Amino acid sequence: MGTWRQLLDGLTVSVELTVTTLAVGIPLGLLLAVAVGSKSRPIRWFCIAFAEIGRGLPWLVLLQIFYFGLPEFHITLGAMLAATVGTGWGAGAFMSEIIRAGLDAVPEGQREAAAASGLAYRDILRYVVIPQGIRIALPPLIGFAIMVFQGTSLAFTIAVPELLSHAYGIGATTFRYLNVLIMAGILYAVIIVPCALMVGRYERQLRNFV
Amino acid sequence: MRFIVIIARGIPYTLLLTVVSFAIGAALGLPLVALRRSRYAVIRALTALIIEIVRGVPVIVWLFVVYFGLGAGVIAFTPLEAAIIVLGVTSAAYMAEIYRSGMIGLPSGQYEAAAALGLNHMTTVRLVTGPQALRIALPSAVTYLLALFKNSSVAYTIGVTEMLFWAFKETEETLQGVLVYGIAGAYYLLMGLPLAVASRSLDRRLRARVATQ
Repeated sequence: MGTWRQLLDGLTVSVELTVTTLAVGIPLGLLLAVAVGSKSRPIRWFCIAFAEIGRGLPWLVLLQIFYFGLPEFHITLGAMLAATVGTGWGAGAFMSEIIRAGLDAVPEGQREAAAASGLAYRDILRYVVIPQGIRIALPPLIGFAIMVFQGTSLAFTIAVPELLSHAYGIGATTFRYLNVLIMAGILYAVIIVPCALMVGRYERQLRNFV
Repeated sequence: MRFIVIIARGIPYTLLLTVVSFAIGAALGLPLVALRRSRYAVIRALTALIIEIVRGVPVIVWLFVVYFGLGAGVIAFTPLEAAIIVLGVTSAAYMAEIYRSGMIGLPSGQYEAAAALGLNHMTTVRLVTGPQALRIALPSAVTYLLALFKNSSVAYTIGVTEMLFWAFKETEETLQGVLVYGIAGAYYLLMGLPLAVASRSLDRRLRARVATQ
């Protein structure tokens, strides 16, 4: 039972990293989604480039550039912080695309009606477009959050003591890699499979009502 | 600037991993989606469960299970073999779902019209619904190919000498991580860009060739 306990310790770290990554990724995604529609060309181009780089790079590159790269410039991030910043960038870039699609799916009439009622651009976004757009984007966002949880396993490569690194560590000391790695796989599956099935069901339900 | 050359050594392996795993996934995904849409509920449920479990465990965990787990006494694979097997099998699960969403996206009138014409199931799939479903699925497949291209970098963790392997090694030796990973990142962006553009224009052009009712 000691092995399960150690793995659960790792799982806790994986969940923590998921939460911190989403705490960076969701606001970043919303910010990018809105700013890509900005009237200012420099802001627009900067945000597009920022999002495209975040989406185009493997998460391993994002993680490792922050963890192994920055110390050269005398900026040393802890493993957890580097992982949060790295995957947060990648996740934010992906989420901005999902949120953008949600905002675009809000019927044009909503904006027009809000403008006709004399709302300022900022208030149209804040009270009309964003609340409805986020609701549309919610199922794919939850689906993506599951991917983020999966992605935290990559933080093993920068020594975050998450689930996979506990499993690998136990394997290395006992030389029984197969058992402990399968146990780790079961823990991931036990969380991810039910979540994925629920998201799938939720999406189907929503589709029936549109 | 020697980093540009050193990291480029990994490009053939990155491309090999991506292309071979995708080919395996695209091929194995077809029988998988057929089972997933079987007329027997037991087979449908079982296939769905297998697909969900394959997709529900992170690729890096599968990689370790096959390379370190099976490698310790069961079947010893080379790093490249292990990476291709794992990326190929996980791709099959993802591709099966992509094909399936293509078939679901097709208007039911197509099935009904084919049945009214007296086409049997195989002929319907081969001539009517299959080709159209592929057109719907293709842009998602290209998006997946792009994700696979990036995710193939996990193979460095078991020692496949692809791009990230060299980036990691050079960073260890020179401590110039920002430059090294910046170059590796630039390769990923430059090679991924054509695929991303292709995926967007494919979607527009292929949608025009799918029945609307």
